[in-house]
Amino acid sequence: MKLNDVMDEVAEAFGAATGLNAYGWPEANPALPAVVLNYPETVDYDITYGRGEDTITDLQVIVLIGNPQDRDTRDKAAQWADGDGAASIKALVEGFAYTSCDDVQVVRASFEAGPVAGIPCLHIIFSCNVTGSGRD
Amino acid sequence: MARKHSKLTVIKINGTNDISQYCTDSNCGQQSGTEDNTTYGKNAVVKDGTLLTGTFSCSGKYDDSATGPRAVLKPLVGQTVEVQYMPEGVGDGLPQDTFSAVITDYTETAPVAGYRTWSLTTEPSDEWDSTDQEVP
Repeated sequence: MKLNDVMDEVAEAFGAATGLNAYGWPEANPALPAVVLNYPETVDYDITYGRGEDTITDLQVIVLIGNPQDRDTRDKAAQWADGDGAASIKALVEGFAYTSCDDVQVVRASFEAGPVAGIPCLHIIFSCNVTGSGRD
Repeated sequence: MARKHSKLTVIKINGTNDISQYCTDSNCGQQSGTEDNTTYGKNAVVKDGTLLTGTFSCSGKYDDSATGPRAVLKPLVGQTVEVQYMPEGVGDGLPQDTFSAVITDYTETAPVAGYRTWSLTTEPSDEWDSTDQEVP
């Protein structure tokens, strides 16, 4: 399981779920609105014997959308942060057919507000845990 | 003298089924029965060893592949299998225990907040071969 392959594929999954530009790395100047991946908290090795399994913990996926004080932004954020339903990022991303890893679990969504390139943005931060083979 | 990490452990069932990559824990032990042969004049109990026996169990992370624990181990419940237990991995001169065992229990556990797991319990039968590995 290679981190760059996982980040690219998770970005692809989020891009498909949201219809937004998706970057599999912490792009400094994304074309808004966008999905930007940040590095995970840890890569944990040797979950099983014989290099059978590694895990990537707290891979952060940041969805950057409109002015956090707009009602439309809130409504869109609510759809995407829903744990179930046709627009649920958790459901769509967890159901994606990954080849770089075995499983992606979206464990939580948190919210922050802050400008990106001077533009007010709501940051929806999805934390993901990834499980996959420890062998190439 | 050197420590050996458990991640090196290799476990094979019936020669060809290497289940190591699905394992997180294992217990492999040999025991002996005893007989009380205390006679008059002694101030303490005198015991002698009788027949040898053993214990073997393992557990780990569930996997849905054709070589995974459910596909390989569940059908063997109630059968006598050959277990090869290599505590330091595969290599010429490394230790190995080879023995027959009856698979008495295969259990899967599904915690709501985690990944599915499995466990295997066996009752070893007959004598063990603890000759070191010979790998050409």
